[in-house]
Amino acid sequence: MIFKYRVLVFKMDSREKLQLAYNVLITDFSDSVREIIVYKDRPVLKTTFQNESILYIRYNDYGEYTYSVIYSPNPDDQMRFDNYDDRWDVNTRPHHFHIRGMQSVIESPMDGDPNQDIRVLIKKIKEFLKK
Amino acid sequence: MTQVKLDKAVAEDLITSKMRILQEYINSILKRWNETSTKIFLEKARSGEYENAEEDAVELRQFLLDYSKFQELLNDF
Repeated sequence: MIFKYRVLVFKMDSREKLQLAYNVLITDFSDSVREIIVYKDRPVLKTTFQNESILYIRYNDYGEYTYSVIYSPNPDDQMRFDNYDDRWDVNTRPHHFHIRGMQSVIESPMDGDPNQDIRVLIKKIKEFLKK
Repeated sequence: MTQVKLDKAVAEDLITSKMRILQEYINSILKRWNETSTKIFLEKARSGEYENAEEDAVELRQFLLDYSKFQELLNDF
């Protein structure tokens, strides 16, 4: 069953993944969200949270993604999960996590599946809000 | 899948319009990184030579794919 679901997610294109991410945000985190924009011509979803932090989600049809969270106008005050730049020697390669402050990279719990990733992502954002 | 009849000229116009928008996005990414080649930009983003270029790279690959699909559609008319 899990394998079948994985195959389905693998076959989804970027728009379907963005739609799934949108659904997860609306269904499970509507209390934290102020605004969600799904761009018409770009494979991008922008979420503004009640606390002013901003999440950008990007997918393409090659299974690549970025999840970027901007906490403040300070250029380094952000974090990003992605699997594009392939130079980080972590166990989860190519998936990796540019931690908040963007000064180092560690392994990532993400794998490009919106259904799983968005929940982990929101949990992570909420953890930072408590600090 | 829903099918609609569309005048060929209108369809071509819609497709070229979408392609023009995609080309503008592609150009704006290249301009931001002072590059002229999408291939070289993507390689430099992949290797890390360009730091924090991942978002643009992921988007750019999708734009290029969408552009080629529209080009194929146009060629099939």
